[in-house]
Amino acid sequence: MGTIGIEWVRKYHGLAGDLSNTKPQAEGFYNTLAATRQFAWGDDLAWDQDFEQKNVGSPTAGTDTTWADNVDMVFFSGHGSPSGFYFGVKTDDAQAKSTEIRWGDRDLEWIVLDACNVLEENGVFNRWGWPVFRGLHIILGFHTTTSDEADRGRILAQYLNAGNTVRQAWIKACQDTEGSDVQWAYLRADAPGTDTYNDHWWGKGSVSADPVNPNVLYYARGAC
Amino acid sequence: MNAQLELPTQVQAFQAPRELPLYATVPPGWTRDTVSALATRLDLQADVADAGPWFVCRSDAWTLEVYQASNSLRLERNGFDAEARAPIKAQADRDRAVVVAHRFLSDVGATKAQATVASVTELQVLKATKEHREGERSVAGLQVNFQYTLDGLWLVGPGAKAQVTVAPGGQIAQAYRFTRDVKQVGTRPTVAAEVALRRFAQSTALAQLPAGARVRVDSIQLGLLSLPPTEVQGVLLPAYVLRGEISTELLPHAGFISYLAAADLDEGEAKRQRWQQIRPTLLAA
Repeated sequence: MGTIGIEWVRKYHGLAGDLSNTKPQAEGFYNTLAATRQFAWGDDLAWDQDFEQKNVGSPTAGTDTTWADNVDMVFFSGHGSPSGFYFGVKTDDAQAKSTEIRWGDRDLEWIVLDACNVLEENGVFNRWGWPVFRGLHIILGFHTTTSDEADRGRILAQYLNAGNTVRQAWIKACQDTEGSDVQWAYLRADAPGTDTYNDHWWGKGSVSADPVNPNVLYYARGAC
Repeated sequence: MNAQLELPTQVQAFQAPRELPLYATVPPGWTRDTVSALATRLDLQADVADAGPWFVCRSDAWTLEVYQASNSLRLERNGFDAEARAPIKAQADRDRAVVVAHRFLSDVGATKAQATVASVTELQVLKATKEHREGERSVAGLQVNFQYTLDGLWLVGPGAKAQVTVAPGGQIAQAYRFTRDVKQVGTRPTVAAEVALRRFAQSTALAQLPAGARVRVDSIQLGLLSLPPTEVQGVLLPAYVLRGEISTELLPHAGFISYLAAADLDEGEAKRQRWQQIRPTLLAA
């Protein structure tokens, strides 16, 4: 059985607008997916450095080998922008930037960034692609703004439990929870001998070997 | 503090009717037999399995999912190449895609609400390699997106829409129709737009913003809110949809889509009428 972790932020203490539904959204994923639950941090205990690699980028604090990169799948729910995703306290600088992130060199296969615009198309390969994928299979997110809603984490987990591929499950969960002016997106990596297109959640179908040194990246987006 | 909203003229001047219709949903009452009959209508011959939130009917070629909480369904071609990994010989044109999409809606049956093509979008794929690091673009399909109106009001939110993805060869690749059967159960006084905006300004989303923050509302739309097709919903709540942007020092361009109640429903009446979720969490105010 795979391992999972979640982080969510409702209270931004004036750094950005507060959100209402990030906690139930992330916890819906956590409590529904057939998985071993490893961590769940919210509000002031959710930190950007939990997603960042030590000594990479600036600031250099990073503890992803303990948290985000130490499980198979992570669900983050909060604010985002093309350059990163945001937290409510400045234990570091309150932003997990792609320039500080290397994922998959320890464990992480899939990460959901349920936040606006993180996977905006323009420049996505240079932001989140080549530097970040070190064994990671897929980043799931949005090309556009998304609404502050409570159900998507649970619905995603239900589709994964039902045996959909990871990318299918994300697309369906987004279609179920957003209007068609919102666009889902994902970014995935492959390398010789890997097939992350057909990845399933652990125990629900095939899972590719890790694309440790990817030679091809696919970015897809569509209307919800 | 209450946030100061920046409102363009068309938002300030937005006028809603004094009363809005209230529609109660009719439980879908799916059974294995009705799902099987629907599958047969779609040329899909297979057993129907109860998979919790959905009835699922899967043949070698197709998968049909029927949502148990609503009158919604999704049809998928199992082998669809959603990333255009194989070379594409010819792309379907938009007119052809719209025709295919209308035929799908006709096949799955009419609804009380009227479907209108809102947009035709592309299922876009970029493939980057070490040699082409910016990526090469392809279109895996055309997506015909429908919105619904009910007696002249838009149905808003995720649970009332349809989409048909037409593959390059011109056949359906994926399609869904999210809807609920409804009956009108009277009207309710409208919460005026200016009142709803005032409530939004006082909402938790904006309460902690510092003095220098800006909240700009770009558009306002009035409609009937439909929740995700996986959820049981008692009534289609009249709601405003706001789109705009919040600017702070950390996050200068945070877009938002927020739903605000356009009618206040009495909880006691809702309980007596067995209307679930009259105050869904999707509402910001």
